[in-house]
Amino acid sequence: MNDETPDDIPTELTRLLRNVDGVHTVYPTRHIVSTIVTAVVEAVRNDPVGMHLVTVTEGDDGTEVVANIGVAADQSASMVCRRAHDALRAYFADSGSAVPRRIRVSVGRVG
Amino acid sequence: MTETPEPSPTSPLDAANLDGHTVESLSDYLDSGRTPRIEAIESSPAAQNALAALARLRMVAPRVIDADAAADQFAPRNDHWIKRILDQIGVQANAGRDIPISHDVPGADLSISEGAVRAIVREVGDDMEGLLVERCRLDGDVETPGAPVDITVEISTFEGIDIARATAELRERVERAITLHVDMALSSVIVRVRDTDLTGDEARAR
Repeated sequence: MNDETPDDIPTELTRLLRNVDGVHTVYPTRHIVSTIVTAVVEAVRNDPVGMHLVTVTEGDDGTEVVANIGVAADQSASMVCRRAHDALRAYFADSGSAVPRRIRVSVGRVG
Repeated sequence: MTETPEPSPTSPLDAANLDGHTVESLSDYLDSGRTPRIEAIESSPAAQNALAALARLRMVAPRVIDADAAADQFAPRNDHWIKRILDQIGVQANAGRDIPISHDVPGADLSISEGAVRAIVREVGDDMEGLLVERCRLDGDVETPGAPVDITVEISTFEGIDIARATAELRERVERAITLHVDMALSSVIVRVRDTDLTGDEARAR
């Protein structure tokens, strides 16, 4: 992760969540209006639009990660949510970064 | 006991309920076969919950309308019924409260939206032959882990259905689905039948 800029982390985390067993969608965490603004900014910067769905906020007391996911109906939504959380946490731990102060994962849709 | 805060003071079709979308716009999107893809709809869990409910309603509605038209060309009752369900789809798909999901890891803040849970219940009911879910209500302090929660499901049933059997089966299916997906101290599942005999010919044939 040494060659990554901080802006790459949300993209990495979005991709990571999409590969978690039982997660079928990663929804934007921001309100739709701010999402549109973000999409425009990303388009200007030639970043892949729609990839920055996970929000990562750096504060004085540490990092906060927020994600909103849709999960498959054939698995326990609670279990998939925990699995998604653990994957996010492991991303930071495995890369030697400080584990986020708070990781918030919400399930917005089942099925 | 805390009752689900229904956003009734605003119109059920208020776009704010569905991340800026209306039931009408979602219906148009379904008409178009979801093409061209509208990212703002596809990326909204509330809109997705509503789309799923709308799609199921569309499978059933023609049966209701045809049967009613055969009995009365003005079909006043079922016009109201369909509008009532459309309104509820708009209201109930909104995210609502956050229901905590336990996880014994420091800093973990996990939850499932009330709208997602209502959608689970609606889908469970709509998947059953002979009934359609009108609305679902979660009563209790769902935001506090371990607090008892009652779920009330209002349904309509089609003609020829054994209502007692259908409601018992729905109750069992809802309990099973909630137990599978949500960390919730489910106290009871109450099923209320609001309308019966919604359809004619097809139900009679069963």
